[in-house]
Amino acid sequence: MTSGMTRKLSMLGRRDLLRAAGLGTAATLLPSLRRAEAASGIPTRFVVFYTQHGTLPEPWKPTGPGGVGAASETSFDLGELHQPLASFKKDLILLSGLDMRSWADGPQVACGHVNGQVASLTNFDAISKGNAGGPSIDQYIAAGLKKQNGGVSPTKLPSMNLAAAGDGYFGQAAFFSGPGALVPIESSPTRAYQRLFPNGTSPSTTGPSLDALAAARRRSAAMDVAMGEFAAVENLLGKAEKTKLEAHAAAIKDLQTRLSKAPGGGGTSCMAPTAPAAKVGFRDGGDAMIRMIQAGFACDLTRVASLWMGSTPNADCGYSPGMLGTTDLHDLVHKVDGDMRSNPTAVGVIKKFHIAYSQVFAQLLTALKAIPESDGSTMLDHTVILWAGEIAQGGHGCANLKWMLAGSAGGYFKTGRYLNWGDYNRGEYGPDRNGPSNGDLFSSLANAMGVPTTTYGSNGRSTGPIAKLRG
Amino acid sequence: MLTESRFTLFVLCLATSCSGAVGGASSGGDDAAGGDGGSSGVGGDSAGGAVGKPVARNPTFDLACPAGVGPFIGSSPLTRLTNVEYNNTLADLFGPANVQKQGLPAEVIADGFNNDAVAQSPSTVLIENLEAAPITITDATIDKAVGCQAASAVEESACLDKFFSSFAKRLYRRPLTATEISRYKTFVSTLRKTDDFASSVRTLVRGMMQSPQFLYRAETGESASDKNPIKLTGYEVASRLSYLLWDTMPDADLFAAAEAGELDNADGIAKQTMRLMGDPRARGSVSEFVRQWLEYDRIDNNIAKKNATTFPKYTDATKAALSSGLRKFVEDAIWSSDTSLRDMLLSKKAYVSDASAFIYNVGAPGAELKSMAVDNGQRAGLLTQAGFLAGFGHETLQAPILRGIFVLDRLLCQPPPPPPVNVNTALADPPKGAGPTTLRQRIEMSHQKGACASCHKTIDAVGFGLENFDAIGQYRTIENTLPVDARGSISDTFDANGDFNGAVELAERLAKSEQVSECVTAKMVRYALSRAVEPTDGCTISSLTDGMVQSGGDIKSMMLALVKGDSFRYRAPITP
Repeated sequence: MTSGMTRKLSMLGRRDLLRAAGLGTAATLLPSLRRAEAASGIPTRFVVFYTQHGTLPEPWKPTGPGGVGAASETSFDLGELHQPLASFKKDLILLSGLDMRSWADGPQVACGHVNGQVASLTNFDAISKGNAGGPSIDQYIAAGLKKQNGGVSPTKLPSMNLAAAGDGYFGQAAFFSGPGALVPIESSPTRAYQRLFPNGTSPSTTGPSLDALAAARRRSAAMDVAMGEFAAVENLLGKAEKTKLEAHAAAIKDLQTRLSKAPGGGGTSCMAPTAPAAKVGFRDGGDAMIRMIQAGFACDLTRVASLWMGSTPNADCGYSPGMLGTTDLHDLVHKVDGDMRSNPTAVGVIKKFHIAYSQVFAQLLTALKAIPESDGSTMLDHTVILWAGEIAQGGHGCANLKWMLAGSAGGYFKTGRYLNWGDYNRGEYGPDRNGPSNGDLFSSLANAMGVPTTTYGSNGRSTGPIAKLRG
Repeated sequence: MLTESRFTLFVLCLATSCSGAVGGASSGGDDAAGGDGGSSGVGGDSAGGAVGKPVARNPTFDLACPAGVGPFIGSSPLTRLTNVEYNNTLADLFGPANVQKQGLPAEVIADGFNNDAVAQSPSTVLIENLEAAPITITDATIDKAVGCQAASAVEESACLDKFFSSFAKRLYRRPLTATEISRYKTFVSTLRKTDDFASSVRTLVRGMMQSPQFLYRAETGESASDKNPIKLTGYEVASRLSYLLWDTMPDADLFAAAEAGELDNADGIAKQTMRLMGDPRARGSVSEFVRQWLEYDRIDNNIAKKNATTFPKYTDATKAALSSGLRKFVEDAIWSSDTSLRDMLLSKKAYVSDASAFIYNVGAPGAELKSMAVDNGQRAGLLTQAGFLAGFGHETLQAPILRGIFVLDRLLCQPPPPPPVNVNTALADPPKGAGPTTLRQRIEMSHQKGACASCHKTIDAVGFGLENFDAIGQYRTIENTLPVDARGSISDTFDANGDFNGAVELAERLAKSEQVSECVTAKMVRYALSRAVEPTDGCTISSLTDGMVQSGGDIKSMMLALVKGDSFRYRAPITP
């Protein structure tokens, strides 16, 4: 069909890519990536890394240098859970004390896994259980990029919402494109691959063949037929039905527009990875999906992605069902925030559970850092990754979150810092208003992505971007 | 083959008005979620029906059935085909061998069900999949479905006419309008400037497969400007019947019945319904409802995860036997001629195979599942099926809280509210040196205090009734060296309140309850109408429940009465 670059890499390592890009030496960071980006046209990317069951507050916290004393904003060592991220310390901003304000102040009764999922990435009050009242930050940014680009998504895929494993204790209702509009998560690496690279190859650099052009014209014509029918049927039905049909027709129009664009481009690092095996799961699925994000960004097929991690396999953290009288790992997570908080075996298992997440997070950062950009920096420098989850810790609370950013979004954020708005007070499961809301963080992230935003979330749940993130 | 005489026990009061005392003030019950609860009940006398009886048999339901002439029906949101319906429809249109199953994104689950019209939204990925799906059907397959070729302009015109009156009609599940035909002719003639005729028609077909007439069940009824409920056309009724009972598009007989006007009246609908329900496809389709109502997905997930050290005899074959055995048991209760909801709750039988015989403590019946008595005075019905108990059991321990919530939510339609703010859901550990404890004791210790107490009093008291059954459904009287305490109680319901001891007494209490009959009815109404139950469904639900009560819980007959009734034959007025 097309004669695009068909070379495939089974492993996208930094050295391979540098060789592919013709760069012999390690890329060096430029002092002001933001300005460089404006000049170079290197896009900024956004990733949500989503894990379950909160964290363990104490081993999450950074320590003073060398493990001695208290950590300060700029002088610290990463905590025990984050040792796999040691080499990325200067790329991180650790955030301690954010609150899910839509939960804390909203009409919902309890937080916990389901309500926390809905509130975590939206900061909108839920319209019903499991249904957010507004978009999650990833979809908001994707829609904002489209608007900034004259109503057309700048990339073939507005976003990629992926899952390492199909599991999730409480469904996967964290991503929304609007009120109650759940965004499905793809847990099949094969399908994710096909969506990015339908022909199994990198986007063509020489343009499509005549056959491909004709096929594209017919697809577009078929969509015209459908859209004509939507307009006709809408007039026969009532207001609510019309709204539903209009949203559907708009989604077809959006697809038609995206398909009509030259599919992606990207730099010399753009290569279709090897088609993944149909494996899923915390390790294999995580590895396969990270390659999809890496390739999707490198080929500029999307600029917004999420990776839902699901649960670690029991073996990864030395857990076996029934251990310590628990029913499952989730049960143990809760107990370690309760009566088993001093049980070294129990705490050890949960530490390993969170460290496993850190290992995959490090893998994601490594993959992004392996892609050189034209200005001598790496893709990680032009990305911001938010590590978030549905509860703060094992006790089901959604206040005093311990989250993290990685990457500076092209120099927008000042990384290598630990921002602490307040520590979690054990025994208090209620709202705690020490820190900014998750919506304030989302305002900052949207602005970093070039989508001007003053506040984020339901009315009154956000006061504006967090200035401190910039320095 | 079913006959209508089997259904005559089922008494309907659809034409009469039932009195309208409303059960409770709350509209926040399970089935009312999503409804506004805007209307309130109408009190007072009634000309007919069940005078003096409240409409709702559930203190949390808000149902009204006004006196006067109906039809009284709720809203009619626009429904998109579910993933199962979409794939089955493609298979019917093109032949099962000519289509590949489309992996569409999972539907949004609202209130336990995947076909809620209000919850459906067009995600980016779904729209991409629906656009790509017609391309996966080969040109040759579409050519064959279109059914004609053309070598001249005259032949092209004739072929198009044939296409409009045959395949296109099946695609839209109704005859095309003159406007549509004219639009498509124009479209084809435009395409013909660049493409050949066959290709042009294929593009048309692929476009029609993305159109709302195909993907949605758009119902405009017989006269769209009506201020009152609008009677559906025969074709619209045919689609409702077919998708409810077969999970797919209407077949040739249903098309013929619609065309002949036979679906314009209840008798004609009954006749077709009997035919559809007599076909094996109805079992598959109804089991799709049951899968969601009885939470088979959760059950299978938990059946799969058991601790091999605790349960060494529990093998992969056991898992399969429990999962299939439960399905067959429920299917029998719905479809066998002499069974009902009552049997589903009380039956002393189970499907057992060699792999699951040890759980029921019966002799090995063979490798295949066999229906056999598993009584011993220990078991009764659904709640004591090993598949259910293992499905509502953790890896090592039974799950009384989940079991209690299941009964309250899925059988009584009275789910407890979610945990309040500020709770630690971890169970308390027993005091040091206190000796062995049962799970019940530990739960009671944790729940007796603070914010937990109010709800868990209700939840736990129901779930504890099944404490004689461990995490895989084995009966025992000793747990952790202590005697099992399976005493429990139901409270705050319409008619199921009271103390009981053990699973059999719990089941008997539920089997007698009209609230349970109403609950199953309300779940079916919700599923059949693809939306949450609304107060204006009161007439429908109360009369169907009357029939359930009188028939001892004949679910087939309830479904027949439902599809013959107003809520299935009318749609809400169209408000621009």
